[in-house]
This record gives sequence, structure tokens and C-alpha cells, in this order.
Amino acid sequence: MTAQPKRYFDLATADPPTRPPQGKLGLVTADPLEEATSPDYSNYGESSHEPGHPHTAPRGATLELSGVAYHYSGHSAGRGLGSKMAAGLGPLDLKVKAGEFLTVVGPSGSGKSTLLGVLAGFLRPQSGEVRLAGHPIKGPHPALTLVQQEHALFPWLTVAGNVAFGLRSQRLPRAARDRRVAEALAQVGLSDYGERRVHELSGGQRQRISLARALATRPGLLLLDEPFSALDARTRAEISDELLGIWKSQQVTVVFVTHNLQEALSLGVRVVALRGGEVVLDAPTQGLRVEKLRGVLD
Amino acid sequence: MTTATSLTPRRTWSRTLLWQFLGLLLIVGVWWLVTDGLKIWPKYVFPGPKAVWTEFSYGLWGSGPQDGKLLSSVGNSLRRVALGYLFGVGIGGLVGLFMSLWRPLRDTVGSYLQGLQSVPSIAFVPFAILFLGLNEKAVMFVVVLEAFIPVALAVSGAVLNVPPAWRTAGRTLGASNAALVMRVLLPAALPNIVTGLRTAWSFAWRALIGAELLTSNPGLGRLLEVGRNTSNVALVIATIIIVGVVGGLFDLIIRAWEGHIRRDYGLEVAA
Repeated sequence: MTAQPKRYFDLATADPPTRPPQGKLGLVTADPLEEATSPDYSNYGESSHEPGHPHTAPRGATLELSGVAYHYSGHSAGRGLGSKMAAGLGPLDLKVKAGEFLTVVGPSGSGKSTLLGVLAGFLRPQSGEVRLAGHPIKGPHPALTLVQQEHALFPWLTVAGNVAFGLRSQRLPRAARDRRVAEALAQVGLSDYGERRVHELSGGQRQRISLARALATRPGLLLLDEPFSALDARTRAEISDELLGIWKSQQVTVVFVTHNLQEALSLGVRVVALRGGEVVLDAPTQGLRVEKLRGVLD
Repeated sequence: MTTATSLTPRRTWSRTLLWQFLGLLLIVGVWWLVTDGLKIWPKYVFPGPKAVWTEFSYGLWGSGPQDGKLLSSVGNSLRRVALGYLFGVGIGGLVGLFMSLWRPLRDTVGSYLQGLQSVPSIAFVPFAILFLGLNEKAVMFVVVLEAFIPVALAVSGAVLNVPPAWRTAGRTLGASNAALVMRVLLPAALPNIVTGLRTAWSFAWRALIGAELLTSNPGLGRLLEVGRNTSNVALVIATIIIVGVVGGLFDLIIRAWEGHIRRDYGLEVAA
């Protein structure tokens, strides 16, 4: 029996860590919070961009919401992303620093999914503005990619075809596309799975591929909508570790929505708690306890 | 594991074939018994397998002046149904796609197509004859219509039922409207579209035989009419068998394709 690699946190355990996570042990040495405040843009225009593809935003783009409000009308309630949460949102002011890992928590109906819908460009706020790297977001944009909680991989494509999907939309040349696909698959530890069909993968592998597919486009902002909620605790912990490692190495700005308070504290550098569409807490996760978070939300 | 998955389908397939062959033997045996064996009915009312086989042999590969009619009828009917089916599927696919994308079209045309689908194809033949004349066009009209309706409804329904998560994924990965249709909606809808193609084939084939029967255009339908007029029940039975076999063969081909797609999509395990 081989020894299991030690993880920084384990979601199966009761107590969350009292300091911000640092990803997979051995891979991350610096404090992610420090790293987040000074994102590395040295590779902007090189690895983030393929020649002739201006749509790719710089890694770790700053996200700003100013006075953003979205309220469902009778007609739009129950349609599209965020429909299961008929809660309105805002008006909301929020700034996510470049390269920051923000978790968003809240009970059902708190506006988490509405926020995500607005950020992803699927819901147009009735007032206010969302800006990514200073540019207003008015619809789905290649610079921000959403990973959903349900399996949204395309079964008519192979795993590699799925990962290449966004790259084809960016009209990357074949060679660059193949290279990116290989890189993304390697990042999630599934390099040998390129030719597999989606139904041949386990739940954990599918979410890894979803993550790889989102990362392959090199988004400035990665939005995650409870991506691990359907996974068992062990797989969840493994993928969470991988996500942290990727976040650290790619310096992508992450907004991670979850209803799991422990997960929110374990993963994020900063947590925003929503209730009734309003921010009731916005604080660093360092030193924050689940009990306090729960108290704010109750 | 590998051995089991590679042997099981072949064994199942050969076993199915064996049972089907035994079933066929049983049917022919009972048929022979009640006709040539027990002679319950006169031969001109209900002929036995031998008489029908004679019609087959003369009709399919006979070289006399009155022979080969079955083969040429099969050819005529297949040409007609192939053209009508392809045309109907093409138009139906486009109309179905637009219905799924544009609600007013769905609420108007879609609702009427739903109603039209319940009208038996034979009911359109008199209209087609009066409108287009007693000719090839009337037959083609009915075949195209019968292929068009199920495909239009299948494409529309299938695209509308594409899970929102796939649409969202396509959008968030930068797909334009056209790319979303071509690279997400249509591939996602394919399994249900193929089911619609099967239904369309079966409707078109039946419509063709019915229309040929009434319009007397050379084909399998007309051969049925010839058999009735000449009291040649053996020819009628031989033609019915041919109609069934050709229709079944095409259905089998589409079904095999459907199964392949469903397995690729993980909708069912390999049989």
C-alpha cells in the first residue's frame, strides 16, 4: 500500500484550518494572500495569449462590481442561471483583487447563483456595472469561465475535444490548441484520458475535466458554482487541493460559490457571505471560524 | 473484463439471430401447414409458401417477358422514397431548428404540425391527386410530407430539451450563436433527432406504398394493386413481404446508428 500524500486540509474532518490554505503541500510555499495582492503579470502577452487572439484576458484580472442589482421579474423568475435561487441581488459593491481566491457563501435563496449569473454575463443587472480588468462585462465573455455544479461536459466529444472546445471558439491554431489541451489535462492529472469518452469517467474525473476545460482558455476570472457538491468527501478534498495548486500556479482570480461553510473557509483567501441578496460579511478567511460564519448567516 | 465485454455482445447477437431464424421457420411451417398441408383454403384465396416463393423467383430474378417486375418495383419505390425522404428530412430539419429557436414559429407551425401528424398519410393522397395530378408529384408530395413532419417535430423538441447546463457551458466557453447551434445544440439533440429520423422513415415508407397503390405509379404499391386486379394473392403476399423486409432493413440501419450514438453519449451500455 502506497502512502497517501498529505493534504493541507481534509473536508471530512470537522475543524477548518485557521489560516488561509496554501494548496498542495510541497507545491506552494508562499502565502497565497501575499501572492494575491501582487499578481505576477510578467507572462501577460506571452503564455496567456496566443498570437492573434486578443480575447484572452490577462491572468488574474481584477473584478469590480459597483452598485450591481438584479431582481427577478415574474417573467424571468425560474429561467436561466440562478433560476433555482429566485432571490434578487444587491445593490452590491464588491472588488475582487487580481489573483484573489474569493469564496461566496449563503443559504438557499441568498443570491449566490444570481451573483454568479451576473458575473458570468448570463444575467444583465438592472443597475450598476461589472468590470473585469477595467472592461465592462455585458454578456458571456471568454475572459471569464464558469464551472458548473452539474456535469456539463459534452458527451459527443472526447475528453480532449471537451477541453479544446473553448480554444476552438478562440480560433487557436491546431498546434497551440493541442498544446493547451495537453497542459490543461496534465494540470488535473488526467494526461492519459484525452481520447476517453465522458461516460467512461468517474464523477471526480468529470469535474477535473470541467476544470481543465475552463482553465484551458486561460480565463482572467474563474467562476465556480459549487463544482464539487456532488462528490464524495475524499474526492472533494483531492480536487480542492488540485484547484488550490492550479490557482497558485496560474494566478487566476477565482470566485468560488458554495453552501459549505467549511469549504469556503478552507479554500478561500477571503469570504463573502450573502443573505437576502446583501453582503452580510466580507472578511479574510484567516482566523475566521465556521461558527462565526454560521452565526452571521443564521 | 475485456474478454467479457468483447464476447458478450457477439454471443447475444448470434443468439438473437438464431431465435429469429427459428421464429421464421415456425411461421413458415404453420403457414405451410394451414395452406399446402391441411388445404383449409383454396390456393387462389390463400396460397402456400411455395406459390409465394414462385412469385419471388419470377419477380426478382426471372428473365421472361412478364418477369422481374418485383425487382423493378423495388427499384422504383426505393428511388422515390430516397428522394422524398431526403428532401423531407432536409426541410424538416431546418424548420424544426427554426421552430426551436423562434417561439412564434413553434407556437404556430409547430402546433399545426402536431395536429397534422395524427392524420393518416393515405388521407393526403386524394388531395395530392387533385392538387398535383395523378402522377409522380402526388406520390412525392405525400412522402415528403410524411418525412417532414416527424423530423421537424423531433428536431424542435430535441433542441428545446437540451440541458441548460450544456448551453451555459457552450456560452461560457465563448461559443457564438451559430457555434452554439452547430457545436452544442445539434450534437446534444442528435440522439433524439435520430429517433425522429426513424419515425420519419417508417412514415415515409408507409405513405409511399399507400400513395403508389392509389396513384398507380410503377412501384411496390402498384404491384399490390396489380395482384388484387389479377386475383394473384401470391403476388400480393410476396409484395407485402418485400415491403416489410425493405422497410425493416432501413429501420435496422438507422437503429444501429441510433444505438451507436446512444452508446457514444453514454445513454446506454453496449449491448
